[in-house]
Amino acid sequence: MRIEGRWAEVRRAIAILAIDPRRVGGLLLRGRPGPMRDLVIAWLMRALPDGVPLVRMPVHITEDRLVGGLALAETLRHGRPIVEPGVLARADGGLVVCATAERMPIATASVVCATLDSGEIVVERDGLSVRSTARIALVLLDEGSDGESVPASLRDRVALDVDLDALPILSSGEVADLLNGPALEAESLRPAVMAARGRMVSTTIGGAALDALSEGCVELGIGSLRAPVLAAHVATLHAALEGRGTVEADDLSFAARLGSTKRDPPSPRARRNRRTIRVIRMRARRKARSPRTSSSKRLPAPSGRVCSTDCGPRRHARVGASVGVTAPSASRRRVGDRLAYDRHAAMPASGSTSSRP
Amino acid sequence: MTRSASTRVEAERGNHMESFPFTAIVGQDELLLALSLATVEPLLGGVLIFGDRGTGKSTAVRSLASLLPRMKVVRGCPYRCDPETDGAPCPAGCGGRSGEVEEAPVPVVDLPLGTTEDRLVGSLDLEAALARGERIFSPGLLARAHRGFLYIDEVNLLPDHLVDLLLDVAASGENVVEREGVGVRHAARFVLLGSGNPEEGELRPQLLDRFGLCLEISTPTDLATRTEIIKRRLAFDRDASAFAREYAAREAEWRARLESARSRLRELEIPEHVIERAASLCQSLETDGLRGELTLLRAARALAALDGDSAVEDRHLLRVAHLALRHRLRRQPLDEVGSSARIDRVLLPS
Repeated sequence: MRIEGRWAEVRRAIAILAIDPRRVGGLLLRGRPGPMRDLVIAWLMRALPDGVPLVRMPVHITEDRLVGGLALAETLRHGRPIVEPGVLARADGGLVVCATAERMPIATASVVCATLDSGEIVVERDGLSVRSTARIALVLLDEGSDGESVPASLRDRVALDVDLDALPILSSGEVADLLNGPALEAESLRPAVMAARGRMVSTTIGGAALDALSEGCVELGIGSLRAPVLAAHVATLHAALEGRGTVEADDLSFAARLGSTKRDPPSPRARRNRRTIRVIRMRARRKARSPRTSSSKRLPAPSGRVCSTDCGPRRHARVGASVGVTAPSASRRRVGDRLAYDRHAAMPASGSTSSRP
Repeated sequence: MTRSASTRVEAERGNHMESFPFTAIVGQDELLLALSLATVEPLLGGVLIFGDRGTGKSTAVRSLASLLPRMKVVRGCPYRCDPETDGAPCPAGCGGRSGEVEEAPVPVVDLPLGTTEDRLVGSLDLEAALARGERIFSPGLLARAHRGFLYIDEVNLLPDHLVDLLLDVAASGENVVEREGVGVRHAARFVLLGSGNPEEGELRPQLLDRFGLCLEISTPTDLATRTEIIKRRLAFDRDASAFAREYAAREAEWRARLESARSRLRELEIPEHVIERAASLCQSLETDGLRGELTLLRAARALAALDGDSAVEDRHLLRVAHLALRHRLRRQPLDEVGSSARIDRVLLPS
């Protein structure tokens, strides 16, 4: 089966995260656990270049496991302080997957935010004083219901927002097919990501596009200045992914649809989201004088366009709509295995720990 | 002498990420003013910044570090004793006045979330104890912040026992450690900088009172300002060092301004009528104790020094009144008006 419409957009969002996780900050993935969520995470793992760590963080992680601390047994064995890196340090250069992020305590969220901002983690505990790099990005799994929501400080820092409930339902059979089927379309993300990585340095965003983002946010009452900055990054990376040298209306429109401009509480959200898209698209059209160029490098066919194989997106997307999204499946278990906790690797602190006065 | 883990952190600062230039910050004039005043007059007692997400609270604090003038220290002293005034016996035995002098950067020390008490006050040097069986004190963050700034982000989330410790040391200027078999006392005078999001928790009144200046900032709503901020941020994200070069001249200018204000500060007299005005202002606002008046006058004098004025006048007082007083007003449960509006009412009687 082919990936179309809103799912194609999700794939582009994942590609954008994989191109430059630090700049994007991360992904808010809303919806119950199930094959569809597993699919998104599996795509992400396949889009990321080899060696990029993906570390899962349980929501009630203790402070010492989060930031790191003294590895007592090793310290005693070696007769010098040995640092046990925390989850954040182990995820350096990669992604931290936060399960049930809507239940994350504010104190934990604050540590994660500080690490996101600075790209490093400073441990001042158990007699240790160590600074290590932790250039991380986040995948916030939000199963929020009953008014619970991911701490606003975290939401403010991730650029991408995918709501599984707003996507056409895929059955677990379709998910398995997408992940392992003969088409193996999932595998095609990585080359596109690598190509876009090469292009992104020379991809620019014009003043008019920035004005459009800034105006759009003001009009929608979005106070935070991170939102337009992150949206600008998303638009730029989207342009790079699509093989464009400059951000155009399409890129801004994408940033508005899946970007950080969606910042509203659940109930009026859908309505406001539609408005966000409309406002920003309108502003972009008005600002961007340059004609839209159709690119042959465009990855998946966006919705509404005629597919070259005439697959009929709606027909396919609706197959198996009655299958519950929480049903366990082989693919889900496999994804779970791959996401399983990283091994606890006790490693010596930086060389100077053992230095003598 | 110990070469403990804390020295390592200092050494690693060199390859720290480039910080956003102070002078490139747009639309937060009161914040820049407050930080500058706290730099010019360390006796003010620091700055507390309350604000929404994404307002650039910590960006401003971090950008301050590169503007600070260097200070004179006793060569090699881990506590960075002041060769001119520190008469107190130094735990490292550096010799105070008789020691050799060198220059060092003014420290801006972060109190990271998750810090344990032992690292805040200092503790037994674990490495020396384990490897050589020696009982040596390893100075903590308070020692590292001596004569500089201690920055606490999310200050309203700081655990109570750490708040108690900080209050004690901030009041006495001295850190007394009695733990893990080590007894040490050393000078720890620092300027507190705190920031937080009021939505995430209240600040204890004792700690609130400790901060000299207090601001409540929000993101600018003016479109042109917002767009300018976004453009500068993106330019910085794209090439931080090129961006920093662009602002190098302005940074140098501001640094010179801070330095000259610092040297002129003590020469500035505060006329009697300004003192009276400050007293009557505090009286009408019913602020507790004398700290309000003192802070107000010190801030006014620092502002006059910063502006290069030859005397402290009423207008200086009025410009810093909000900063110095808004967190000192007694809560009036039935008064719906915010503290800023109450100050305005007294400042500008209709």
